[in-house]
Amino acid sequence: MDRYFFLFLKMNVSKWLEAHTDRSANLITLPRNAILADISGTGDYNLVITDLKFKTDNKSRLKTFRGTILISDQALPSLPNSLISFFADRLEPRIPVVGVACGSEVFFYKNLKPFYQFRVPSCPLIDHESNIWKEIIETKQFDVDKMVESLKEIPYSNLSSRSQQLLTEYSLTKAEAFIRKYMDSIPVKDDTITCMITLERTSKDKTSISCPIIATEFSNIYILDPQNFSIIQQANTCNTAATPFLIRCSGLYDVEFRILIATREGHICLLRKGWLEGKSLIQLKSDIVDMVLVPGDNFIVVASVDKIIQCFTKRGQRLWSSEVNSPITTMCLVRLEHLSTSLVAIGLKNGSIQFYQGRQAVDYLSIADSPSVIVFGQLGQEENVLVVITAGGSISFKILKRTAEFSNVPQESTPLIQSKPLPLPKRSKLFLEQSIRERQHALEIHQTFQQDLIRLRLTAARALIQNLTDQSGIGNEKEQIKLSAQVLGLGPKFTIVLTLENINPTKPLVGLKVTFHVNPLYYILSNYVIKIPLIPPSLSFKMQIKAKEIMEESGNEEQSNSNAIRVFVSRQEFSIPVLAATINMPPTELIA
Amino acid sequence: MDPMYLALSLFRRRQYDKCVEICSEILEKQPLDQAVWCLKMRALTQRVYVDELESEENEIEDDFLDSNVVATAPRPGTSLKTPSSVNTNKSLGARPRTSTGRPISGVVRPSTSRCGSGLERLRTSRGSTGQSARAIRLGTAAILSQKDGPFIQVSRLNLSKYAKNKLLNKSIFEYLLYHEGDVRNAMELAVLATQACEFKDWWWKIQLAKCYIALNLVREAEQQIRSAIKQTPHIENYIRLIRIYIRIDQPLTATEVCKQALEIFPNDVSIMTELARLTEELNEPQASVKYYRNIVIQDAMNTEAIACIGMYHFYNNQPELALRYYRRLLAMGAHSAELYNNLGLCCLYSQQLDLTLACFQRALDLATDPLVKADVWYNLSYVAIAAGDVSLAIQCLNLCLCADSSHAPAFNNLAVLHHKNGKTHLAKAYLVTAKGHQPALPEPVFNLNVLQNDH
Repeated sequence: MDRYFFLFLKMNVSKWLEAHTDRSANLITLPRNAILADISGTGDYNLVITDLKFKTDNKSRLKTFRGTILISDQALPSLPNSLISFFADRLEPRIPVVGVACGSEVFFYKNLKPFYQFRVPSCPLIDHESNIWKEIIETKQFDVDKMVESLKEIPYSNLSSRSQQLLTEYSLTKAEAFIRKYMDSIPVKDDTITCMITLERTSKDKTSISCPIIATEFSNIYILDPQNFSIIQQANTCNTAATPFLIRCSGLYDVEFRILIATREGHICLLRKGWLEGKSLIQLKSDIVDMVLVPGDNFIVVASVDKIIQCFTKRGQRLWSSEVNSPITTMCLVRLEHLSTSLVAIGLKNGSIQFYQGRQAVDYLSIADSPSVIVFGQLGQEENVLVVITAGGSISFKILKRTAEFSNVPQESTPLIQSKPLPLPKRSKLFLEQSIRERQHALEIHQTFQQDLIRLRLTAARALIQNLTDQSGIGNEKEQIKLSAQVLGLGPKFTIVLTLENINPTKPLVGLKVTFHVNPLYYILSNYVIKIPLIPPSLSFKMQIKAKEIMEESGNEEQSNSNAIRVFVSRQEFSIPVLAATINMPPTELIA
Repeated sequence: MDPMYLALSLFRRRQYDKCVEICSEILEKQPLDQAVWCLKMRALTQRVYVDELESEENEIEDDFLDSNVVATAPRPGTSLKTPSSVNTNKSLGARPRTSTGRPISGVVRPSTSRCGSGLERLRTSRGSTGQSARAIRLGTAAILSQKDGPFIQVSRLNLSKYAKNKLLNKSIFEYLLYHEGDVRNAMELAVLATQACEFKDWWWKIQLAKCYIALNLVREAEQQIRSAIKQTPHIENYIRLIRIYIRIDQPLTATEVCKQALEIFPNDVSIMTELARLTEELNEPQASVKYYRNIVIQDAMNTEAIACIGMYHFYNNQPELALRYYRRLLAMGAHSAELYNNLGLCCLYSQQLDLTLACFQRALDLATDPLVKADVWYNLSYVAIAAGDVSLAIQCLNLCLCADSSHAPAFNNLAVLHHKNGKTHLAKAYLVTAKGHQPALPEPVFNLNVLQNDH
């Protein structure tokens, strides 16, 4: 018993301090759009997020919080899709660069001021398309129908956006106007950035210079030089068609690195230093939600839409998988350097965050609604802060207690199934012996029980028949009447309150009367027959009768079976009662 | 044979009627023989003697006009009157409680009445006779059996004269108190006798306390008993003191007295029984069971202790252990419907199905009291539910209600089963009835809420 009690206590104590929660922050943020960075170089870490606005008249914003206070709010030219921060130089004070990817451009900010704009190289057009446009530019003459026909020969997704737009125009005149407008130039095929990450260049410490890595819609991977933002390596994601949407990396650019790219097709591709094309490492059956690289072991933890978390080695062998009870919305690596361990925080749609150490869930938090972004790291002066932004727009800050430990000891209770164990008593030796008997004689026990059960049915049926013949009982199921009685008073005068209830929900009760049957030697009643008025459906009728006990002069106590009043409810023209009941009268209390 | 010797022998053999006859014969011949007079008096007393310690009605819930009660709004855990809020839900169902929220005990004692407080008792058809009425009836019965008038004319008795007679005064007192039921005269005699022995006899103090209790002067009784204990610590005196504190609703003081008494009389069964009962009433089943276990160590045949331990195990989800205790009771020769009923339930929940219905069948056969019969049918409905036979369960509950038409849990369960069968209106009616019969029962209220939220 003690053991259970202890567990119960332990589960209740949260390892997290609730620092601040703002339910009305109204932030819309997607995963990989929140970072914790020391953007002013003072050692006071800030939270930088992008706040998405999907309406065209309202621009998305880049917001910076110092502690819990918003200190900067800048408009972004278009919808951002990812956010990074890295140190670009060794100048003192060390101020990191914040990069926001919007469309095919990356905007770099330093000290909250725009600083550089990088545009992803556009893709070359397919020969056929460029020939069509070149012809128009040269001849300045065109036939819309013919042109549309020839453009349709090319796969739609390989066309430039200008040609795509042309194909969606319905009316000829509009299409003609459209071509006229652009007939001076060759169209450009823009490449859209899908995700970014940073990779340390020469050394692994907090303030080392890192290179931004950009992945694009057309499965190009660019590694940029942090100083002059030129492309220092370019590669293709995979040899098959793959659209990267999530990128993680480990290692150092100058030494050796591994970039892992999760694609929308369910592949995880690996790209190493010097490779021009990545190769598919893992292929999942379902779509990937999020992916985290656990440092140290270099394990890959992948969450997929079918509520499964899987862990792979760096060579792509599956180590374990675990199912959670709600769809996963986001994941975050929780590096606890003071405990030299790393946890994976998994945000679930039902509003809880589970912390996995290896394959074990070691802790959990519950929050208001489903988390959309979780970031963990230093905020302000506090080292271990978890910032959760939920789908509902609330933001909450939680500080990990300094005393918190995530022990590796397997616990009996996983928060997945139930938060506290049932208080089961210890199973005694007797119980085991009995269960052995049960197992050994299962057949006999079952047969005896079934026989007894049949006998019980017979006994019950007999008793019911007995009751039916004298119509006693609490109610008549067929007529749907219920009778209950109360006796009030200490005696010798009593008041009997009878309640006749019509439990039929549709039909009223009519034409009933109640007859009382007593031994006139012992009781005198105020009324022996009562006519019952109509009782509407589902209502009841109460009646009161006074009973007076005749006090016996001879102190004869042997009248136990006579101190009963029998009540018959009958229809007026029938002699057989509908319902009969016996009221046991209490003995008169003699007060000296 | 000397008739006096015969009478004495008959008295010792507890043949009081015959003893009285012989004494009367002797008295006719020698009307002034004090020894015979005293013997007849004692025989008459013994014939109607009631051990009021064991038969005392628990008056605690009775007196809503009682002025002896210390606090009108006692703190939690310090009173037996306020309903306790401790509610532990176990898989075998919570332990049944009385209407004031006390756990129902494992044995039926004179103080365990199934109805609640005095006010509530006024409303139910299950009236139970109070102490006063019983005492009077015993008194009148004694008079009636005497054909030629009363044996002693109390009004003509010279109390002050007899009070000084140490050989006679105790017998006369007991005669007055138990046979005549004349508390006032008995008390007068006791007062005179205590004065005569210069307040040195603790016996008289106890008797005085008895009279005070009968007259509901509880605080005076407490004083007398305390002073008697100071003179002679006696187990009976301690028990009387404990009862007084229970009566004025001071369970914690009563516990304190129990512990004091146990220091003087270590391991005394009767005091430990009091303590165990008290802790049980105070909703501390584990402590209570500890005391009951001590009792069993001292007295391995103590039915109350064994039954209470069994009950504790049953509601602590260990029916197999409970089964062992109840089997011990059976082996000790107890043979009652309640015991077989409990055995049946233990068998059911510890999966010994082949014995279950055999036990219940015996319980049914033995049950003569309709209330017990009702309870057996109620439990049989659980067997039916466990066997998956809902219609049989409904039949069992109907039979239970035939035997006891105010069985609130049965109404509640019937409602649940009918609701399961889709008869919502019927379920609602039954739930309302269940609530009406026992408003303190939480289940009907909860179920009614559920039904109301559904529609």
